[in-house]
Amino acid sequence: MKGTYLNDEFFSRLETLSLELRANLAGFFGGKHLVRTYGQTVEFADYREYMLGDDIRRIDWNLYSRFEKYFLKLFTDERQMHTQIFLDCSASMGKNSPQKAEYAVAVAAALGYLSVHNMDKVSFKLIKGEKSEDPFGTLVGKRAFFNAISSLGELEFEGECDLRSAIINAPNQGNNDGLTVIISDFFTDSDWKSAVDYLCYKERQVLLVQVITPEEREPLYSGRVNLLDSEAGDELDPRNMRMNIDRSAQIAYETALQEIFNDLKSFANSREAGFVTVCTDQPIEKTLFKELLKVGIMA
Amino acid sequence: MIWLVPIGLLGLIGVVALIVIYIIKPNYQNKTVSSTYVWRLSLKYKKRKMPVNRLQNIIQFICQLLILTICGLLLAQPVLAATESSDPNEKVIIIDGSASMLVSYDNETRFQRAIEKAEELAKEAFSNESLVSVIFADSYAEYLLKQVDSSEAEMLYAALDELECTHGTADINGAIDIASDILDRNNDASVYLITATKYLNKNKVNVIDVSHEDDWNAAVLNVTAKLNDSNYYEIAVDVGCYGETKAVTANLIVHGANGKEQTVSLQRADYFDPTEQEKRILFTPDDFGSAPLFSYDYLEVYVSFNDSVSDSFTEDNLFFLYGGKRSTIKIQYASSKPNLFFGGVIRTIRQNMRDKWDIEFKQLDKNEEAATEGFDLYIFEHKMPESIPTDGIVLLVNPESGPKGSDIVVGEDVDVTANSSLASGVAHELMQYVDSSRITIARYKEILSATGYEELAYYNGKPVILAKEDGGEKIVVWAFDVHYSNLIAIPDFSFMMYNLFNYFIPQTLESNSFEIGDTVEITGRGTNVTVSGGGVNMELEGQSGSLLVTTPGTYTVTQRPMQGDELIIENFHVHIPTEESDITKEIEELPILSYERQNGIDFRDLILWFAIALVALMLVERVIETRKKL
Repeated sequence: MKGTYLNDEFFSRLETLSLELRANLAGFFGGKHLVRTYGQTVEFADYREYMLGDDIRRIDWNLYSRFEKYFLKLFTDERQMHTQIFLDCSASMGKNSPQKAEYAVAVAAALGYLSVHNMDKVSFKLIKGEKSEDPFGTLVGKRAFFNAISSLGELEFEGECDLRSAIINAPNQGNNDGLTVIISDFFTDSDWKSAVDYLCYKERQVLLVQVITPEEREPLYSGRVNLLDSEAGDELDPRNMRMNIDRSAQIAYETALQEIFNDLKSFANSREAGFVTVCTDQPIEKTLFKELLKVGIMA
Repeated sequence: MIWLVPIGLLGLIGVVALIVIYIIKPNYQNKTVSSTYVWRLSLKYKKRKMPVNRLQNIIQFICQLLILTICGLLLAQPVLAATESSDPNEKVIIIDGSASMLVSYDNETRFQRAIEKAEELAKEAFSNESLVSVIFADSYAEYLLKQVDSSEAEMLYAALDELECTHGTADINGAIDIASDILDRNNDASVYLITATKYLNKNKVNVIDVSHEDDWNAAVLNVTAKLNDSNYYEIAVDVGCYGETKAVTANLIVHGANGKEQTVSLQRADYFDPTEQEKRILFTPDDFGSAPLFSYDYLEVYVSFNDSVSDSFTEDNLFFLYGGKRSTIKIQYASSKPNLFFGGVIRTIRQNMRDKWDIEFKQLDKNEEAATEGFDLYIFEHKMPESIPTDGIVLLVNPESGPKGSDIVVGEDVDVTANSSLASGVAHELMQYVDSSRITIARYKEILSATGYEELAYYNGKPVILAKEDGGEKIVVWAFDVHYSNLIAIPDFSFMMYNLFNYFIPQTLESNSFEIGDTVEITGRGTNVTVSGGGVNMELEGQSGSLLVTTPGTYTVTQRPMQGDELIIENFHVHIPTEESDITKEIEELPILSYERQNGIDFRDLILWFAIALVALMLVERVIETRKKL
């Protein structure tokens, strides 16, 4: 796969955007995300009564003159988050449709860029089989990001993947410290929902990005066909199907696809996770500036 | 059903090919998809196949089979062989509507007998439940009624009763052609021709002769009057007598003889027998005694018989000939340097046109004052009048100046190399038969402006022959001196002068005698040209027109002249066609009925029906295919 989206023009358009993460995340010191904990920024947050041991320099003497009590002025804190992007690198994401792979990588790169642009840490976790690879480590700063991106463009999509195992067994999951993005078509038997539950348990904000192709949304082929799954090992693989695709089969396909969409959406809502479905025939700008803005992950 | 091109059945190989294709067609085609996850999930949503869906493939296959079969059969040209419906009692009746059918005996005309005969034939056919067609053959043959059955008998009888005989000829050939169309459909139909003409070879047409053995006819066939070299008329009367051996007297009455209001009557009898049915009787100038005829209003010619018994056909017994009084054309030639050429050519024209015009030519002395009114043609050479005449045609030759009203401005003489040829300008009847390149000049008069003129010939881009015709204005300009030109030495001079006459002073009628069915061309030389007579009364649009004459009699053409208030009145006579006067005529053979022999078998083409079935099947196949893809 040779990326066609990853160029200066693409990233320059992202300059004006930033990731909008939950405020209850803890994160790390530094960074630009406003959180609920009190810190040293100039943005006023609250007052509280003076307690023994507090720095008397923070007492608000104006309030003392009015109430004859000591109050401290509290300010919000800004933290650095860690964005983890899990990218489904199975054959279904690109072997049969290079554009789908390019699109998925572009979305991952865009989210990664927004993270480093906002002084967050980012790590790309490439799901291959039951494991997730972290070839670039934790990236901080744009220079490290762009070094990694140049390799991301050469990514190969092959084999199959187990989202659940790869996500749960991934190292450095973190805890309440940022956003986890899962980019996949979610056309898998793997129990990815338990992986999301696990991430929620780890108090990470979760975003599910489903990437599909126009042919997957509306198959144009018909008649008697042997459907060969791109992840199937051979022709005898049970995932291969022999079908007579007629009108009723196409209607059933549309119903099943809609069922998957609805399931993903309701599951994401129940876990307070973000969810977007993007089709590769729609411009990447629309995905970034419309779909992701709509779910509130961007601002 | 039979096949006209059985080898076309080889096209059915396509059916075999289709079956083979279905046999070897792979059952399933491989299609690699990203994931079959959704398809697997869709299985639980898939409804049970409707039986009709299962049948779709079979129906589509059958449609394809039938389409190929029909294509193969179409190549073999399928026809349906059926025995042609044949009805020997069907009748086609042709009624001769020519003038000779007006011959009567015992107060009953041949045409009336023909109608009765036609009704008899129709009744006979209707009694056999057969069809009857009636064709009326006058100058243009056409169906009166076509293939009517007994239910329309009354309509047929009414149409026959309303039928009227014409005074013209009968298009029997056309009628036979029309009858052949009926025979194309029914070879056994009988064709009847009801006529009084005898045909030696009837060519399978049943000719019913409605003439009577006592029919006879004497007729004035034609009258001509020609001026001899002494300018006296010699009158020729063609007389015919048919069906009787008889002495017939040709009576000639000259009305308005020699410009006097008196009639001159002459008679001459001759004997006619079957060996000599037509004769020419001549009335020479000597027959008029001391006052030979040089002018007349009209001639009245009729035939009479000693026993005062009338003949069977009186319509052709009387003949009028008009045109004996020629119109006078006045011509003035005025020149400051008179020459003989114009006078010579006009005298030649006068001699050649003496049958049409009485040309009065007046040549003025060089100092004599020219008139500008009262002439039909003015020729001014060199010296021009002050103003242009408006009551006639004006020819300006080498004008020294532009007369008032002529709309030309004349410049100086221009000398050119001798024998310089002219070039043609716009095509015009005034230049008919004239080759401009034959005309050479050595000097010409420069025309500085000529408003409304057509330029008929040029020298070096300068107009030298011009013409203008605008309502009453008819002006021709020759902008060169004939002495400095070869024009007078070549025939083109005569052509140009003749054209001047023929174009500007046309003869209203080509002749004063026409036959029924002729088209009379009328070319007026004045305005308000009207034609009346024979039930016609019409005014021509413009100066010329034509009239198809269908009724015998005298017709009058009236027009208002360009000069004077006296109307120009000319007559012509329309008479029965000469051939119709011969009521006993025999013709060698009738035209042959040409129709297609059916040999008892009629091939009805089935291609249309096969094509309809093919389109329908293709439509069904497309619908099934589309439903499968939806």
